Amino acid sequence: MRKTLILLMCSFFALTQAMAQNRTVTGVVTDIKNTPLEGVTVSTLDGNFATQTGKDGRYTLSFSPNTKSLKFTYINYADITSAINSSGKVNITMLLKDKSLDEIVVTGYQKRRKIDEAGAITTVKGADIADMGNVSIDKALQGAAAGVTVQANNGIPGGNIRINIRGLSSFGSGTAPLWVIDGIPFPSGNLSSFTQTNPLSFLNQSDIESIDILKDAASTAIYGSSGANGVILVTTKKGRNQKTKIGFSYYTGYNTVLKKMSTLNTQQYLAYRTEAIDNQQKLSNINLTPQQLKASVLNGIEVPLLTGLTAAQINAMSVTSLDSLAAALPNTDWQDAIFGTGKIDNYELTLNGGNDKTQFYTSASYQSNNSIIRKTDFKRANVKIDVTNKVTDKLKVNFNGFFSTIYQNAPFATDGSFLGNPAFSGALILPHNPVRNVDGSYFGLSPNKLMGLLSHNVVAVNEYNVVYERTNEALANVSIEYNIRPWLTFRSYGGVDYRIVQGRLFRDPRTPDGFGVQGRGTTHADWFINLITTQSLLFNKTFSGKHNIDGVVGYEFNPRRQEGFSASKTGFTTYQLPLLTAGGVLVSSDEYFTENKKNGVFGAFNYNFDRRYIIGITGRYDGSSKFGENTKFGFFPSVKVAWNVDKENFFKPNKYISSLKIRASYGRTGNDLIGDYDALGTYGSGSLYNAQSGIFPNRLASSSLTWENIKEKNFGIDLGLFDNRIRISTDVYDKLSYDILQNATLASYTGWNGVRLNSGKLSNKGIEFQISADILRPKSDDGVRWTVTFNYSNNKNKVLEIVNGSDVLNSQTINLLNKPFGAVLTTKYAGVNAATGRAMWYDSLGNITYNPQNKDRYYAGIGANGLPPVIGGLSTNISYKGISLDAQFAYQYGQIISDGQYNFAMETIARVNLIHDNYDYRWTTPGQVTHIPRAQAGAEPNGAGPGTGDRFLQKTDMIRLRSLTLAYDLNKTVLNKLKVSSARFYVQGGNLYTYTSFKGYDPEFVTTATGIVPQSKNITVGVQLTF
Amino acid sequence: MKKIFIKSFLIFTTVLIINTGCKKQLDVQKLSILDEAAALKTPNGIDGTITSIYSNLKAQASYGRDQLALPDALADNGIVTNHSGRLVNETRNAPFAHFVNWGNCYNSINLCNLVLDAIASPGNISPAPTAAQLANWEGQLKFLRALNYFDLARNYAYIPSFIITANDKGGVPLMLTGIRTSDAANAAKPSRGTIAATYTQIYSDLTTAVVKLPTTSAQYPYKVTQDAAKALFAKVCLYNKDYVNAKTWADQVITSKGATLRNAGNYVAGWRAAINPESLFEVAFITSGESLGVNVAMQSTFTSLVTPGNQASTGGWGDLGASLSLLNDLGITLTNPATYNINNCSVASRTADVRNLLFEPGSTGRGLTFIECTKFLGKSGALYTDNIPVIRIAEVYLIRAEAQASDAASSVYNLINAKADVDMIRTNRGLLVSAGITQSAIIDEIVLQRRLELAMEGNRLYDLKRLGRNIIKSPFYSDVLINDYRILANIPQADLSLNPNIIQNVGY
Repeated sequence: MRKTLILLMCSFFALTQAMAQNRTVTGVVTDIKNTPLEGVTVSTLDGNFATQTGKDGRYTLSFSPNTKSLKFTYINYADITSAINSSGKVNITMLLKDKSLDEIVVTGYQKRRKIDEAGAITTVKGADIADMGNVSIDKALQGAAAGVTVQANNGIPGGNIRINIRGLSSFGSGTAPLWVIDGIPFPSGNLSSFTQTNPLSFLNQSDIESIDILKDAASTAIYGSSGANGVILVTTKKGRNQKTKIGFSYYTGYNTVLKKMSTLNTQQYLAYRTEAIDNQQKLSNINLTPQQLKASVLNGIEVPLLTGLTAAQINAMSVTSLDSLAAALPNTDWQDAIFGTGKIDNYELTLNGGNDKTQFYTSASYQSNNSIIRKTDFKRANVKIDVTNKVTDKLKVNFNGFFSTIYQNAPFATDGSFLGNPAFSGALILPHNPVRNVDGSYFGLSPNKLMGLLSHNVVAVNEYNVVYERTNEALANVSIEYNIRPWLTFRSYGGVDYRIVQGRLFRDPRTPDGFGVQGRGTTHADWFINLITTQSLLFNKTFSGKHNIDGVVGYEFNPRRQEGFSASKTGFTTYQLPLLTAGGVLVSSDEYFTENKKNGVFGAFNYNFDRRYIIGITGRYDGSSKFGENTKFGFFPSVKVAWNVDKENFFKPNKYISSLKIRASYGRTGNDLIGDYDALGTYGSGSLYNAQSGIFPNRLASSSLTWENIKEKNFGIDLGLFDNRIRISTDVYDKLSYDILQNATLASYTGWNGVRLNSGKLSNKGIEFQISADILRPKSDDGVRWTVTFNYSNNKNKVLEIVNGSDVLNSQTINLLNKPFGAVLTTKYAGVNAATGRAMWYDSLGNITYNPQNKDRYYAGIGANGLPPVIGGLSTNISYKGISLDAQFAYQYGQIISDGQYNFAMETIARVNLIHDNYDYRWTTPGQVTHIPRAQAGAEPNGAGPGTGDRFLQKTDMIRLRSLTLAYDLNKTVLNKLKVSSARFYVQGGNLYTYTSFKGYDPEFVTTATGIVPQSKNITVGVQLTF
Repeated sequence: MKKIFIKSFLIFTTVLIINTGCKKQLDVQKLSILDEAAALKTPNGIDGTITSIYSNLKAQASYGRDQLALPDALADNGIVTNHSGRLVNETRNAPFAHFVNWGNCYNSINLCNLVLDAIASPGNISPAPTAAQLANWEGQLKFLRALNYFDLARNYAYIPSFIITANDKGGVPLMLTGIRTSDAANAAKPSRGTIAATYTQIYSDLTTAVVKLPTTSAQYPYKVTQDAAKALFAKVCLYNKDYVNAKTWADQVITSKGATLRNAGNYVAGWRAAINPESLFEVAFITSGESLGVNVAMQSTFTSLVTPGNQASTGGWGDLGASLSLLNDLGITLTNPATYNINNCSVASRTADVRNLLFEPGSTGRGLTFIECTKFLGKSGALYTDNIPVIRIAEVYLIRAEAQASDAASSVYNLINAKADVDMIRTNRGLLVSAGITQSAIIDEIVLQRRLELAMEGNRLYDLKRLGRNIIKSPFYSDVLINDYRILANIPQADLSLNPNIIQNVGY
């Protein structure tokens, strides 16, 4: 039966064909140099009849008589449709496709052709940053885009990243750019209490299609609210009309330390400490005998705790006995005890397929990433589901959802000089402390202690304490698109971003922080709900062939709420029961609640004439609940123009300049990154006295509080040279922030610290430059391809006005008029007095002083609160056949920061272990010229401490090899044999090399380096298979 | 088709206009905050705000640490232990290392003013308060305002009894109306006024407080009563050389509470109890959640010990040890003190003065050991959690003694009574009666007894300052002479920049 049916059908088709084929056309297809092209598809417009050209470029095609024209398609060449003339011969010259028409950028609420766009937008392809071993995508942008500063807070996997676009644009409100993930504005601030959880780390990087960074105000003004710091649009992958492809990828590897500090061993430390005590005593005109000195040093470092000897017994020992006691002391480098290698594993499965009605993309992934410090880790499981369905020709619906759970074991503290913090204490614990006793138990557990000031056995502390955070994230949206007209689409969009962050911290009673209080437990849960709905009309039409218009008008509503609970107890029955239920004494229990809402209408209108002259205007009228009763709304307009010079008739294609575009834009954006209730006069609660709770005024009303504004001018040129082998894009901008939402200091005799108001001006001016070159272009797919991309940005930041024209220093930060934000004012170190070994400084007149005053300070440069003005990156990729080698560098220049961790190790009072920088170059004898002061166990009399002034300010300048990847893609023949559609194997290294003079663990951190988990190197090997 | 387009467009634009035209869409919930205008319209709101004023006293810059530790560190009672690095600069009298209670005190003063303004119109308060409630509120608020002005005045200005005229830049700005708006805050440009004006204001508040306050309180000694206000008033009068009133108020307090003075047998036990029986007013630290923590809590500031006598167990830092001259005065002899340091010394012998039993070597777990004060030991039941005595009956005896001995021209001048009061303290602390009978001998004895009785309770700097005596710290540190600018604290720079009417103290 079936056979009959098939036969019948075949004959039916044969019949129709035979009946219809009554016209034949022949011809030759060549390229511009008249070389015949083989394999060009020649078809009728309905696609019913088709053939391909032969080696000589010739073709013959028969078709039905009512066909009027033929279509020629060929890879890399522009499609051509040609009318059939009466001669029956159609010869065609095909031109290479103008690829610029295919380049798409995502602008606010629209996808546009890059060629039609006049704003300053940088696009980073997902493929370029995937599999770089980063936990979150913001880190992957480091060095990848001009004008984008990316700095990791620390090396906690999934920890915070500071990202700024075109400098810091505010010194009062938030400076983080707006992240928009598939249409949902995504707040990127940390929510976890006991560690750092970068909310962006919920995303699996392989799911990212592209990242578009909107930099100038004209591009961001459509996001009016919070557009001021730049906007980063993340577009994730969608399903394709194809047979379902199954992808599997796995990588594994490890994290390892970038660097260890060169600490002293026990005998070196003893020598330094002895000298420090001796020098201190001599300052008091006391000369201890060698026996007294040695005994006092050994008692001072608490040798009795190790040996069982009493202090009195040590005091009574002879010099010989003291020497042999000292020589017998053990030696441990505690950095080895706390640092290790951390394993990385990542598994991904993707399914991508569909038909012309329905397409889907789903992926599931699991990542485990252990840092170099034990029990500081990151585990994430996530699922993405994206389904698009074409209900009718006019109606399309889409669902896109991410569901992820992140579990992080946390360090004792994310930063700070806490004794129990391994990242802090590791290098500083006195080296004669063993980690374990002979019987294998931990040395110095409570009620005992380690010898010396750093008395906590951090290895035990981190094994026994329980600290974790869990972040569950659901990010999902639904959209409906209806084509009212071919050129007009109505889009209804709704999204939700829901997070719950919960954590537990338990200070074990066997450890010093839990011992005195029989354990201390704290638990918290925070809920964050971010809803958005966007209703928009999109249009896109061409008139008379050359007038192209497109744009969008829409309305948006975005409420956000955050609430949380935390409680803390002490007095636990036993360490084996760490839940609060087992605690006896309630220390605190607190709740909080905060909410804000935004709404707005927006519109964008773009026009271009013949892709030559381009103009775009946008406007947004935005409201935010954070502002005063009558000042909630702001209007943010922009205009941008561009000229594609290369599309002009007078511009003859030539071998030097292949493309040229000139862009200019001007726009205004707003910032509302302040507290939700900052405009209100309120009383808060939480004070406590004699078991009674109190209320107190906590905020002065600021009833006319309104948007912080940014005006920005941008001028850019995009240039392609030598058949676009070299592509240059450069922008200059002038950005002025005004009406800054700052916390203006009030005189404290009013009873208030400050009030939030709009005041102050800040300028950012800069240049961005990016050049990409195809140094080697292959003739065939198997040839050698070598591309290099380099970018450079230089931003000049300047505080123009602080508050109401006055120069009162902002209470939170050092804020100097006419200097960059984060300017450091300090005194100048003058080295060491060669006669005494004492540290000296210059006063304001250039004279030497031991006691520099505030008036002696000078402007030393941009410090921790600012940003390095010069940043950039270099990437290069060489491939030959299936092998490719990819290297990506990032660099920064121009910032000076004091590294707290290093500073402790440079102390002269010898209370903690020290490093060789200090020990090897210290002043020891009169007449010695050196920069490192003498060892001296006490404070210097009538003078500043040796760490005062700019002595410890270090340049954070660096060039870092962020990523080096060697990959091999199996060729088609092998793949076909294996029935696999693609296979890739690679080895990747992260942070393998850093060129810097910085002396701490790592020049990259935000604000403080004291006690942070340093960043690490990583090496991974991976495989990616598609079936 | 056209119809659908037009329809949807119309619906769309209508939705748009309705939505954005409506500011209501931006209304938000405020569960965590209370509208400023409504806060003080209920008795609960007023009680809650007064609770916050008391709570402010717990701050580190106030009675949480500085108001007790700094007068001893800046004067001659303290020695640097450098265990944590805290109080090193204060003890060495480094420039700018001084009191920082300006902001905290003015915050409390503003709260007092806001509530006083609110209760001036009792009709706005609902439910309507009783007369007793109103009087109690006013008494507490005026006491608290007076205490905060007193703490400001003695830190940032000279004390009326001894003024270096050349360095006198006045008292402290008087803020007597609550600041509710930023306009009012920006408009307030007071000057410092005279020292006398500041004390006149303190007198005015205390004059009301001693009348309006209740004689007893269920929350005694954590909330103030008439006795506490009278004791503070006596102290203020003494600082103001107003010996007649100093004696008057001291008499009344001693009549009421004189019997609470401990004797040599139970003195130490009094300091081991959660509430010192001699206290007329203590700042309450009840729960471990209120503790200022291991770094700055009073216990940790003064001692590294957890239990007296157990040097092997380490608690806090013990940042401020006792100076050699204080130990000498207390009757403690050390083993082998070096000329320039007294670290790692033990106690060789003690006199019969029981007050020296509150001084002993600290824990060996913090490096070099010093002789530490154990008045604060986590007595509220948790580590680093201690109530802080603001004024005790023993001091009131010494105030009365000084009031009667200071000025031969005063109508209350009576050396015999003065000697009797100071001997009252001596004999109740294990000492014999004093020997001297001349005015200067009795005054010296009173100053000495104040040093011993009130050591590490925040009085030494003021006693030297108001009597015009130099601070002798050599050979450990440089002396600070009474005409040195570091006798006075520096006013925060921001206040000077914002208000040119306020003159900074000399030297800053």
